[in-house]
Amino acid sequence: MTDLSDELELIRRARAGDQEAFCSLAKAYERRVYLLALYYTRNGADAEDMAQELWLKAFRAMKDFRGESSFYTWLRQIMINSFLNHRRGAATAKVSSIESADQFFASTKGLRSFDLEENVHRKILVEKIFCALEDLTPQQRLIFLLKHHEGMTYEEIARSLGCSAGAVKKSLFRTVLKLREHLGVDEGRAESNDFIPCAAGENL
Amino acid sequence: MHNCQETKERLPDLIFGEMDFREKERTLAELERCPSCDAEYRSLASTLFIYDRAARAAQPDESFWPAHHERLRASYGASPALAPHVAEIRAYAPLWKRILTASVRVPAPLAIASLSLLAVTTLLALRPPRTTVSTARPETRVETRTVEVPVPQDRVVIRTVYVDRSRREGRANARRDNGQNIVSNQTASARPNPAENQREVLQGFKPADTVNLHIIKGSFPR
Repeated sequence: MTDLSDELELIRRARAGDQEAFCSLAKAYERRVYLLALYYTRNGADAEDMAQELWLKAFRAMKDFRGESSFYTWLRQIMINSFLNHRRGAATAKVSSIESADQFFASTKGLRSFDLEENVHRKILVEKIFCALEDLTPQQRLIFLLKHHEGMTYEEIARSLGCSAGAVKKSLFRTVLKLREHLGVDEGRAESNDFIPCAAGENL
Repeated sequence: MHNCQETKERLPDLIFGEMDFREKERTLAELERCPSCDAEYRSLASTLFIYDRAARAAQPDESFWPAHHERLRASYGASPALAPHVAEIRAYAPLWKRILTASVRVPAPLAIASLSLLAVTTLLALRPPRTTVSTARPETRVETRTVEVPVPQDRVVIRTVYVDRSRREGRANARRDNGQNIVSNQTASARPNPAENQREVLQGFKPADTVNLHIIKGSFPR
């Protein structure tokens, strides 16, 4: 991550239309954006398209960025709007929801080098996680991602989505219950005693 | 007093880090006292733990990112974003310059129609005027003058008076006689009665063959 002054300089240049400056600015957040899109769409190709669309929107809207919030906060709001629009499109088109772990591995070029056993284990995990996310409504999924991956507060999520903090909390609770069901965690069973429950936004 | 339902409702706040330090301590103390709530908490926390592990496994390899970055970079290049100089002008130029360089997006059919209309109008305006033989009549010069004309308010009175000559003479004689009577102080009784005189005068009156008309013309002021 560049220094704040560097980022401000990049923002200034990007606002003036400097494409290289925007590329440098985007590089710092490309992974974060792509992964969020991946968990949201559960599909490598869709995530790529969505990330590309988001960055293009940001590139075009860069001249309107006034610096009232941080660059990433501004970008995240564009991302949330893109996700919501994608959700509406997906609801009408009924795009296939989930791809199998094999398809996912095929679509994402350049995978980590695992040995066979690890690879199988990984596939099972990915399939589980995608199945669990599939079972959530798009809004539940988005709220969960914003909370768990982005570390936003209930209030921030509520403001971004235009709902109440209570609704966000309720949605998160239902999401965790659904995830528990899909991931096969027994109720009342502790997975292990040696992990500390993760704080939001610090887990990945 | 511990209430399991209330504690379980607070668990999302605990696992998602929405509690302040004091509340967190209080809730953890309650969990220690209640095995059921503690188990529920551990179950939810395990879920997130497993989710995180799986989410990490779903991430692409490191070699994925440079290619991803290049694809994004290529998309910026293909994007019809503002050219740098235009963006500069828009951002920092004075108002008059921004107005001069302003552009408006117009749908293509509307633009084509507008341009066609403009072209036709220009052609019509630039076309030389037609030389036509004038069939109009030569101009007649009409001169209008205002002249004040006195309009006399005439009143014509025509009277036809038939007067017997002998009567006229008789009157003249009578006038003469009257003058003499005044002079000679004749008595009123001796004066002849006019009715009797007239009766005498009209005796043997015959209308003349010709009629004399005296037209008196004159004007009266209004």
